[in-house]
Amino acid sequence: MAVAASVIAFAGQPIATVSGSSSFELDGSLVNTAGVNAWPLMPGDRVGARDSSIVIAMKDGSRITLAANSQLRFASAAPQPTADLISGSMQFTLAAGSNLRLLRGGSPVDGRSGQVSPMARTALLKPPPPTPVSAR
Amino acid sequence: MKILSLALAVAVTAGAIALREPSDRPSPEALATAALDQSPPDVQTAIRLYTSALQADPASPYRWTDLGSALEAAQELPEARLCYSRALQLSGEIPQIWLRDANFHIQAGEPELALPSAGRVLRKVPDYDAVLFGYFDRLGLPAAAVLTEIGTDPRATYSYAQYLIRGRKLDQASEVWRDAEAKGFADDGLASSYIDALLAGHRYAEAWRDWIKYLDGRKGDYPDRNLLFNAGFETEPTGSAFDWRVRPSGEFDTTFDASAAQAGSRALRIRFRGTNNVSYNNIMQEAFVTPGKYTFEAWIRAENITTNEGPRIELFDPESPSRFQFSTDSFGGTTAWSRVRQVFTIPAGESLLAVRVVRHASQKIDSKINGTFWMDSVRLVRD
Repeated sequence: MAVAASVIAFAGQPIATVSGSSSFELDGSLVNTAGVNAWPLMPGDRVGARDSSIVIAMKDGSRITLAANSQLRFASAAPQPTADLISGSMQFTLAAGSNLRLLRGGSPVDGRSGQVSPMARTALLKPPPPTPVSAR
Repeated sequence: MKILSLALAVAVTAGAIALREPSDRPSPEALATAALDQSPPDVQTAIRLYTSALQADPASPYRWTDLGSALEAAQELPEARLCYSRALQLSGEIPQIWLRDANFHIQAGEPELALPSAGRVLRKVPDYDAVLFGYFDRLGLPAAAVLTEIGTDPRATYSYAQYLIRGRKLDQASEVWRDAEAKGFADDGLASSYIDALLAGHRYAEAWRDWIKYLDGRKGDYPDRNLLFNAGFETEPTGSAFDWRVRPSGEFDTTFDASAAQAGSRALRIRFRGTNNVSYNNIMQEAFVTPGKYTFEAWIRAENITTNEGPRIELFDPESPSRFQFSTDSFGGTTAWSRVRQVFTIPAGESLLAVRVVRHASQKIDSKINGTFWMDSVRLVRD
């Protein structure tokens, strides 16, 4: 029992949730989102949007909208989680006081909010458009 | 009752909401989701809207978990816990509600409390195996704890073993394999992949021991009087590395022949078609060995084998053939059943010995091998 407890204590802890209106990939496995509103994400996870965008809600209040056919990897744990856009594009808004580090292909992304496109390696410093609520 | 009071109290505090929305406006649930998805999240609005939705449909477990998720986002964990508890009471046989509960506990940093609901999902449907096993792995949940929830279910236990084997989580895979094997949930396919994983992890003795235990009544004189399994080719290969592994090819036939056995009812038959100068390396078995003196024996027969390069029997270290390798002479022409025998010494540091039949490509002009080769009653013993 003590061994089990110590194992759990050193294991990864969730840093975010992911939600979406259609299936997404988590570490290579297809996750059917039907009927389940949020799935935990942990350091080291690789998440991929397929046919539609997915919303990643960080525990600190930051939000990332990963566009369809895009992939993001969470590379390190607290106190500074890192989200690295491997392919595709994303919109992001960092919460006040957030220490989330955003990368695109390993290169830092500047700004507190904006969009990271497949072509540009830095964020376009403009706020993302509001989420169309009727689409969810 | 307490949880309903909670929901109503939240609703009163947050203010009354019109329950009937115009049909062209987003539902309260959609608005609440949007409130949670924005940065920073508007958790109070989400709570208010989800409470409204719950009031309209208090028997829905989905509405209870919706409110629970908003309360969780607001760090009101005791209230969130009550919502999820109520949702479970109303969930009936809906795996999605169990999943929501499991995900809530994972998010709340209490993965051991996620296991009962996750286990129910795994016992009910196969759809979420990979994602849930992935969570268990990354959260460091002990295999024994997972087995407590799913260990009575053959499908889920089998799938968990497969997941761990594929991921080369060998300690946990061994634990789950032994549980599955003891309960009769294992089969040759699982055994084969499990043994492969252990061998890839250089855990030879463990692989050998678990394989022998798995065979149980199928052992015959293996391994006490013969370190090769299925040495008379009497049964179809299991697929395990500790059994004959046959790699099919369109260039020759490798079969277990029921018409020409030296002993028993079958023998290995390799038929070359005379159309190509083929290299053959399509049947092999591995055995666990320790340093010492060994004797290898086999009965072979040949019929009209052509070319200067016929089949040979090779014994070698499958991890590093340069450390140990022995080969018989090439068998050619036509011979009746005859015994080949070789005494040899396994040097220190060796743990695996492989036995295979090979045919090397000929360098001669007349190189397209034809004819048939049989092998039977193979035996490997430590002297």
